[in-house]
Amino acid sequence: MVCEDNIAALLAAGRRTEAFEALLAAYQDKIFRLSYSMLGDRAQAEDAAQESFLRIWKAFDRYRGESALGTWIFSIARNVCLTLISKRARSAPIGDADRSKPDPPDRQPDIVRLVGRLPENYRQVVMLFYMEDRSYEEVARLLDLPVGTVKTHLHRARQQLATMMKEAESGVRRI
Amino acid sequence: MASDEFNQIDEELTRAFAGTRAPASLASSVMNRVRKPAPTRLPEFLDAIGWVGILSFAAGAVFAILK
Repeated sequence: MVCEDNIAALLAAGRRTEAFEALLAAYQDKIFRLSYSMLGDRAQAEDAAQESFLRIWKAFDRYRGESALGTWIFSIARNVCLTLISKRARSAPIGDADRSKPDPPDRQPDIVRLVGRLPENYRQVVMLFYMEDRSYEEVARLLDLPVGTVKTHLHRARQQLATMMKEAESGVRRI
Repeated sequence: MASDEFNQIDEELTRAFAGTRAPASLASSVMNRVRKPAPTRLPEFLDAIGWVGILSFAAGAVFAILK
């Protein structure tokens, strides 16, 4: 909150670039993690985070403090990611079977790969939860979801992961 | 779900995702793009003047023919 006050004060004093630099330093990790959880890919997450910050920069003068700075920033980042997700869905071939492809039998199950196979909403919650020091509240704030929904998604995601791990391990044993 | 299974998943997820940070290059890339000067509007402006001239000429010619 001190940081938000500092940024608001710099902005009010007309020191736009300094305010933006402070904002970038304060939020770059959170925006990257949010983008990574939503897109499931580090390179795309970096592009999305850059795009989010450029949009924030362009809209910076219009920020009037009606909502908390974090809330405003996270909603911009979520919109950037949602746009990328819908573009990706449009360009993906119909019947893309990649997600349902079984693990190669000679490889041990890799948790990151298994997380990538979860339904999108579960994957986002599970990745953010562990990236954000296991804080349900922070995940809820970043994804704009009720805390109860975060807990439910997380529980179901872990159940699915356990099932997937069992399947992967039994596949390895059969070979 | 058995608790040891849960613990195993929990540990693996922690190992995989805890401490994830933005790439070091992110802030500098953003600031480079922010500091890049905005493209000039001069070509569009000159283009608009040109079109106004052409349209005025055309309107004048039509007016002269009809007169």
